[in-house]
Amino acid sequence: MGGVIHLVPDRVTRPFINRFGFQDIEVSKFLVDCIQSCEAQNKLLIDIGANQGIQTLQIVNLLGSSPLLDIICIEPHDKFFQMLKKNL
Amino acid sequence: MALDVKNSKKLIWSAKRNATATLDKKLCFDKPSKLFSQYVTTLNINSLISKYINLSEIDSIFVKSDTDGSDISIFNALIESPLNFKIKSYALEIIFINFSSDQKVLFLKNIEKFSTWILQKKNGATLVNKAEIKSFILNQEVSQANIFLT
Repeated sequence: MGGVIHLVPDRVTRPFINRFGFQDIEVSKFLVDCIQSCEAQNKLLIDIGANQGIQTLQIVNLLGSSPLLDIICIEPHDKFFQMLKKNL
Repeated sequence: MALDVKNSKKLIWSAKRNATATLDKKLCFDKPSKLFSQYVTTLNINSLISKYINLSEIDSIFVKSDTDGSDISIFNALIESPLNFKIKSYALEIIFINFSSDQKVLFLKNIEKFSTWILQKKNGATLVNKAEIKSFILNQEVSQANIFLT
């Protein structure tokens, strides 16, 4: 584990991440459970409204050494998209 | 913070619009003519995804989405697309602010294909009964919750 996550200064996400180190972890855990319990070989995760990549990072970290899956992140807002590129 | 990703990455797509409904809730109600005037390109969700992934090789799709603006449009497009049958689970962060009842009805119609629904309110309370979840979504003017669909 380690590394730095880049976040746009705001009143919600950054203070929350700084304080707790995660955000909406229930969503990540739900998807990780679904991915891990699925026996299919080729899996795709689509993160719609990926924002700054926090949810994708959490999912990837929770998956740990599980088999790789393809991930598509979609984020229309340029400011967040730039952070998404930095973070992934 | 302690986050780390070892997977490889590939830049896939960038929109040219300078705002999203996350920042401006009015954008939820954009009409095609307005999108056109802002030079927004309309994309076919299948084409978009198949540009980067060989969909014939994908067995199962897992999706995380919000319900604001463009996110809900992509959600609706995915559900109505031929990819539908490959989607095994959906996690949606519901943020219904000023959503019309028609939009809510469309949302509920689109999630009907999933057999199991779990709605988690922001206070941690959960609903698992479909009728109760529908009532919660339809009757709350402002709804914020997570819904997990499988």
